[in-house]
Amino acid sequence: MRTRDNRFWIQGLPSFRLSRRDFLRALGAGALIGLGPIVEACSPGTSQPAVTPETETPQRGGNLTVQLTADPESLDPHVTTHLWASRTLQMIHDTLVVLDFDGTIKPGLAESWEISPDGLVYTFRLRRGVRFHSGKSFTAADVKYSFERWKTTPRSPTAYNIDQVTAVETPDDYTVVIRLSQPFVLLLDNLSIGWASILNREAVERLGQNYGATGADGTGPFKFVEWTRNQRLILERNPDYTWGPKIFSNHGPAYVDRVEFRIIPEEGTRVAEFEAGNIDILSDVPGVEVFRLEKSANVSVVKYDQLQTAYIGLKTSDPILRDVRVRRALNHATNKEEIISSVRYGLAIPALGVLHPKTWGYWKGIEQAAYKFDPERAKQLLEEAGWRPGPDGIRQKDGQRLKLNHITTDTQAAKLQAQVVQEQWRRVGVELEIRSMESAAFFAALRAGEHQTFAISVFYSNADVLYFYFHSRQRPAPNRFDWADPKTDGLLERSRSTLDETQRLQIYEELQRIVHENALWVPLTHDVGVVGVSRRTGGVKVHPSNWLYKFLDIYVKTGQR
Amino acid sequence: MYRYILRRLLVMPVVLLGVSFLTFSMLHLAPGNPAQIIAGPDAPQEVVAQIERELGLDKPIYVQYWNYLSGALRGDLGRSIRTKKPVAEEVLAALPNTIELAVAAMLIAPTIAIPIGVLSAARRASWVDASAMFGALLGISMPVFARGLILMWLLAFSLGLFPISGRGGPFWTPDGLRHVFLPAVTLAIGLIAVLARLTRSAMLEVLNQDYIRTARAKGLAERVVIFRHALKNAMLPVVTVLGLQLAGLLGGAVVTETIFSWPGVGRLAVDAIRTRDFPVVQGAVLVTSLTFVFVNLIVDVLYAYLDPRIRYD
Repeated sequence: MRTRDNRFWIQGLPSFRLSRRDFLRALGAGALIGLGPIVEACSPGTSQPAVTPETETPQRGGNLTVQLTADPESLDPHVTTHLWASRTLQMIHDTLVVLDFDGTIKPGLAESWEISPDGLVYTFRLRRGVRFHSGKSFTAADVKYSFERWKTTPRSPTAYNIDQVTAVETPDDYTVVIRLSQPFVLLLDNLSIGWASILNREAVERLGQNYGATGADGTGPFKFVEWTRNQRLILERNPDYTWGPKIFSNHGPAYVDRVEFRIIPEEGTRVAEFEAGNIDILSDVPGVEVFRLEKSANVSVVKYDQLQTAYIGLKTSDPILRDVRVRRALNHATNKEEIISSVRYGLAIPALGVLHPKTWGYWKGIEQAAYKFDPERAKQLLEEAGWRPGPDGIRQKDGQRLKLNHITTDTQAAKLQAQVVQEQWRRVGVELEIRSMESAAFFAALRAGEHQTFAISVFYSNADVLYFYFHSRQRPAPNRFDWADPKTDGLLERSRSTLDETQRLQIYEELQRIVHENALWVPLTHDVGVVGVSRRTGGVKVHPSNWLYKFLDIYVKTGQR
Repeated sequence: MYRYILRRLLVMPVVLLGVSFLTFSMLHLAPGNPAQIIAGPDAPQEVVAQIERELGLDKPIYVQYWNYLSGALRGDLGRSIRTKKPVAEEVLAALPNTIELAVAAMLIAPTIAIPIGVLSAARRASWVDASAMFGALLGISMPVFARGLILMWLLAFSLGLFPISGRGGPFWTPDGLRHVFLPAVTLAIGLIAVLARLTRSAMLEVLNQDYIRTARAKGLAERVVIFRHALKNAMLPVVTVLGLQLAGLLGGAVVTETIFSWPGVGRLAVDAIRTRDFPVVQGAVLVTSLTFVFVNLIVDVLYAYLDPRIRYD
């Protein structure tokens, strides 16, 4: 098998690994191409920031080299859902509000805001003295222009984040009024994501279709300098930037003079460049390398919690899986610890339900209620459902074998995970037929409903991931469970319009209970994110959903390589 | 000869038309929809449908093909679905990098391979021959990613002689040369192995010919026999393979380009296929086939030069 072959080579070559992607991206093929709202759409979530253990005084100056796995698609926030695009364009542009490291919303370009009691009118007071890189002053007209462009650009894939917005008004240069068609508690969260960046109309009109490709003009801490496709993207410090959000220690200008992003897709290559000292920040450390790099004297690794869940989805309308006892049996048959140690290199915690424990709205009751790894219980449930062991150990009912397909991406980690699960389920008499395919075909197959079970992972920033996955409107994707339940739908709609936080918490808990009791999926793991940091780099603090965000606190120590 | 070249050039549009038709059909037959990829895998159906309309992907395939063709004939290859940049610009930015890499590998490979092949043939069944052919076997058997990573680890990472990855300045600068060296050698090793074996067998065949016996009989030095009489005649298959390999390299050495983060056409095309960026795939394939056809033509013309018996008129 290929996996084995590659491992052989790994042993021969310290510091190199031949499989293409680390486990995170392998499972969440979506992360490569961007997951839309759930990757960056945010809400009160609470995650601990990860900080490099430094107590030195930050220094100004120096160039920072950062590795990226893929070229960002575009730096125009309204035409892409690409993960690296959202991460890089937030350095150039700013948003009205920002998401703090603890998941709360804090002022950005808006100094303050008021929400009308009915939740339909949001009034923002804008910060004065803010300028675009081109020198133009930032005013309410820019906000109106940007939001209207976001909503109406024909190819704007993320416009649905502000579906409820009916009008953007500008009573004066420093006031913006946003009117909604119905209360939407996630509006501020959605205005904190990269796609909600404020653009300069003149620059957009001057550059036309080339906006975000050959240039960009924002109010952010870094200016666009040069972008050579598939090679490097260079940004330089905006010396006038003094309006950095208070969630950072440094409010601007940024410490480093320049940030050079180098595009290095191959894992072995990027780790070698990192260890050779040519890269200061390694964006994704391959799981297999973490242990070794942790012990290295020249570099350090920073682990951080991210709101992410890897799971196996079950299609509830399937003739076999329609029986909830079968779905529960599959939950009991799955050994998450084994997946963590064999596929995740120990860099994960078992997932009990939909939400990461640090998500605002997490239901603590799941810790008692969760399906434990218990093959005997799984067998018992399958017996109750009428599935009896056949001659080869695979269960049968009315002459039909208990055989399920399992659609997964074609990365090494995804295939390995599928094989581990296949073996675990076989022990209780379930046969799993693995179909692995490259990501575009993978998502197409799921959309076409060819699956009975499938594996994927999701990144989110708030409990609205529940709406995203389980509302009947979200079929065929992302509701690939084909779950259509009026009670669930009603609760999900209320979760978006209920202004009272206590009530909202109750709704979220009830929803998690429904997903759990109906065993709509097999939650697997919450994976830990890892970035590599060179010895000369300080101030690295990873945001749970915005990665290195605005690079304001990061500095380079002079005199060190 | 000129008429032959003219005829070949006239056939070229037909070949390119066929290639564009095949690429277009294959892309549209493959599962995965560009609009879906832009919108993200979980985007609402309405958003996907809107993007499809915007990109013209909702029109019948023959209309889409016709639009593409008429654009291409006017020199407009369209814009990348993902980056919005003109396709021509993207492909023409990557092409020189690929040419640079291919040419560098092409300069290295024959320089090493032909002398090895000749020596093996001349010292047939000696230890020189055995070790050269063993080396060649090793070169052929070792996959390109393994060669690349081993070279990178040894020469760049451990010894620090070359940069690990990326493209430096233009290739005529010392920085550019240092950057191109490792990926070029990675590619060249495979070529050297093939060419050395080929040269050896072609030489052996020629050395058995009567005219070689005659040359030896009239007392010519072995050196003269091999280099003056045999080598030129043994070069014909070598040139054919060299030409094909060059054309193949110009299509992009995807694995090598990926390992060394070399921004060439191969990586561009593979990335575009993965994200179903139809216009970029079309553009990259078109330009690649164009170079392929040209290189083949040059090889055929070279035949006539190498072997006076070959006449095209």
